[in-house]
Amino acid sequence: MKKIIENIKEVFKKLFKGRNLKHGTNAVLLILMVLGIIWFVQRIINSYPLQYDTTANKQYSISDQSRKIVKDLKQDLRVTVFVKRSVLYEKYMISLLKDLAKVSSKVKTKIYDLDVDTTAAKGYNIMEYNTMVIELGDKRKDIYERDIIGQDPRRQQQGGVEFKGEQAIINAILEVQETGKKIVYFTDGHKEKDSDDMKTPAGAAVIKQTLIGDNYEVKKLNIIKEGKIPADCTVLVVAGPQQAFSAAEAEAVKKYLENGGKAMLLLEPLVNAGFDSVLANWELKMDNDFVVDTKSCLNLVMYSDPASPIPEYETHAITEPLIKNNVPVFFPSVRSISELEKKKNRTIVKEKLFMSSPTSWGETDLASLKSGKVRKDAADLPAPLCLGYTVKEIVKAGKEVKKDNKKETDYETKIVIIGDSDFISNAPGGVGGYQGGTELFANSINWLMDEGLKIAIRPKTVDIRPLLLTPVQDTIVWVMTIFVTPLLVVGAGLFVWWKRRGR
Amino acid sequence: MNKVWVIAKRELKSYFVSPVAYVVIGLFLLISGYFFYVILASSRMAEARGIIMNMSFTFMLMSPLITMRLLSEEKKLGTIEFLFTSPIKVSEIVAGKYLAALILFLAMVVITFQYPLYLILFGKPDLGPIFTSLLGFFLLGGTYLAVGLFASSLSENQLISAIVGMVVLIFLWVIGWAGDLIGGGAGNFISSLSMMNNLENLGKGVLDAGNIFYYIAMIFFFLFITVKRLEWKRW
Repeated sequence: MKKIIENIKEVFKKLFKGRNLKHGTNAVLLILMVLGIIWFVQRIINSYPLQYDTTANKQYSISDQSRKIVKDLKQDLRVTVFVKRSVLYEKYMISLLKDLAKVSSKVKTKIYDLDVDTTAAKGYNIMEYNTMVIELGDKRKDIYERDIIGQDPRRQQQGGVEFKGEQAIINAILEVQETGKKIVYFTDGHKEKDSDDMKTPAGAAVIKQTLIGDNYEVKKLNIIKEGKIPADCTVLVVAGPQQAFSAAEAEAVKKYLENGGKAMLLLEPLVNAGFDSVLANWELKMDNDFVVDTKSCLNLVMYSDPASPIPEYETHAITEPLIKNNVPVFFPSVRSISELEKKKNRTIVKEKLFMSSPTSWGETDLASLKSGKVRKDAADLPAPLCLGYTVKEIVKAGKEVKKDNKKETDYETKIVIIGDSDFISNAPGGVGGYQGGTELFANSINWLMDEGLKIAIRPKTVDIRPLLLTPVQDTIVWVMTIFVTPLLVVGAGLFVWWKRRGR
Repeated sequence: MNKVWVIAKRELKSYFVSPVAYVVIGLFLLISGYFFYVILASSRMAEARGIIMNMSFTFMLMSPLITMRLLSEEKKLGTIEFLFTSPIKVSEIVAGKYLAALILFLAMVVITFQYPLYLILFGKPDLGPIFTSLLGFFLLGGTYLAVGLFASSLSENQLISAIVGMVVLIFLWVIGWAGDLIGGGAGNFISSLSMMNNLENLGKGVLDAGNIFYYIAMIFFFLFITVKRLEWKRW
């Protein structure tokens, strides 16, 4: 032990001896300086997007249009992601956010582990894994994993996935950048669904909260009081009036729509809402029926309701997410809608949203509903019946409109018409927690506002290049790689050794 | 430069007259060949990313065997004193020895070109990521050798040099995990030091100036401290 201590003492003595100490200190200082320079240069390089993506489909590149949008940011964009650690989403998102942060220093990112950083999650009211919050000023937009990672339709069999993160983030940026709130007006005064009623199942406050969460402002509108539809109305919602609109009110709605307005008309059966002339203007009419479906209907274990049909979706931008995620929607008491004769000199685009199933019919003997003895007979409307329509019409603003070349000065009238309003209530049909109705409503509002993709960026797909070896190729590969090459090298070594031994 | 080449040639000769280099290369090719075949047979994908990661890990464990004797042996035999008293600069000695190890490594890399060759012959791989993966492997290997050379300058015992080199390399390889655990700015800084994290972009086909600079800087830094270490020893 004594000897070891003596040795250490000796080493230290040598170390701190004149020349040694001086040279050592110089060396340490030099090394520190070199480290500092390396760190500095590395920081400069990392702050610029000096990258080149060599993949064939430019899988890891940000598109030029995204680059421009991010570069043009005037204020800090806060991107907060709540991830589940070590899953595909986290890896992909970290890499994408790093790239975006390199494009502009205004992009500030934070990544939280939802399982660990529960305080931050509570602060943002996040409960779902892999949720991204985009904030600009006081505006916020949430993006979910399903909006970002999807199945590549071209490579479903190989389990191919596609990433739409860039697309989702850029569209969210555009959305939160928009100045001025978008206002959704709910008509009032005709016993419509109450957007402030959270307490009763028939209220529509849940829908209102969904809209507020999507950065919309929600207001009530009494047309009689206002005399017209306000100019700041982005979408007008008529949510199941139980009393008819007056002719003047209906006229105000019609005028609003004719000038490129957007409206969602949810009109219940057994009620004359006074919209016949409005609908007729766009070649539609509400049938005076009550759709009954004995098979495809709300069918809970203890409760089956033929008066709550579950329709079949037609392909449309509104129904697409519901079809993709296999989410059904049911309508507790619904009427059908029919098309009227086409008008000349008008280009009205009408698209069906959903059709009742072949086992349904439109009951026209409305008195029989009260007695509960509903039966299909000759007077009833036969299946399939259309329960929802969308209408689009480009309103010319005094200028010639060429096909596929819509000018900005032209307006677009858009209407969503559904023969039911109960699906937007807090608990449709008394069934709580049902998501299909909320999604259908939100998708419809987005469609009306053109809130689909503001910018189209091709989703990034994982470039899968399969390689199936034939038995001969397989043999060549394993023989060459595992045996021939290593043995050749070792053989050469043995040869050299043998030759040198011989000398 | 001529003096660097003279040293490099001398080292290369000593590599190839002893069976050690052949055994190390042969063993490396056996292991990476096995990985290549198994990954190809199980994934059935014409891509090089998986094999490059495995080759990188294998070579990390083997590279100190190539570098361990470079300076340790000179020290043990006392021949380093002759080098110090010769008109060759310490930096030239270090550069020459590093160059020799790098050429040996390059020979190994050239032999591993057969793997992408099979992919090209039997499939349709995306060539960009294959090229960047190989470049990444070469840069990473170059860093391993610089670290190994520094380790070799620390002791005259080859085994100790190899172990020290291996420990430093493993540390630089896994340091990224600590960065992930810590998170935040400090975590990001630690992660940026990881050799594994810097290989990620190159592995997937992205040429990133930051990653390439990282490897070049690491090589320069370790060669620089090797020179400083030897100069200090000389005094």
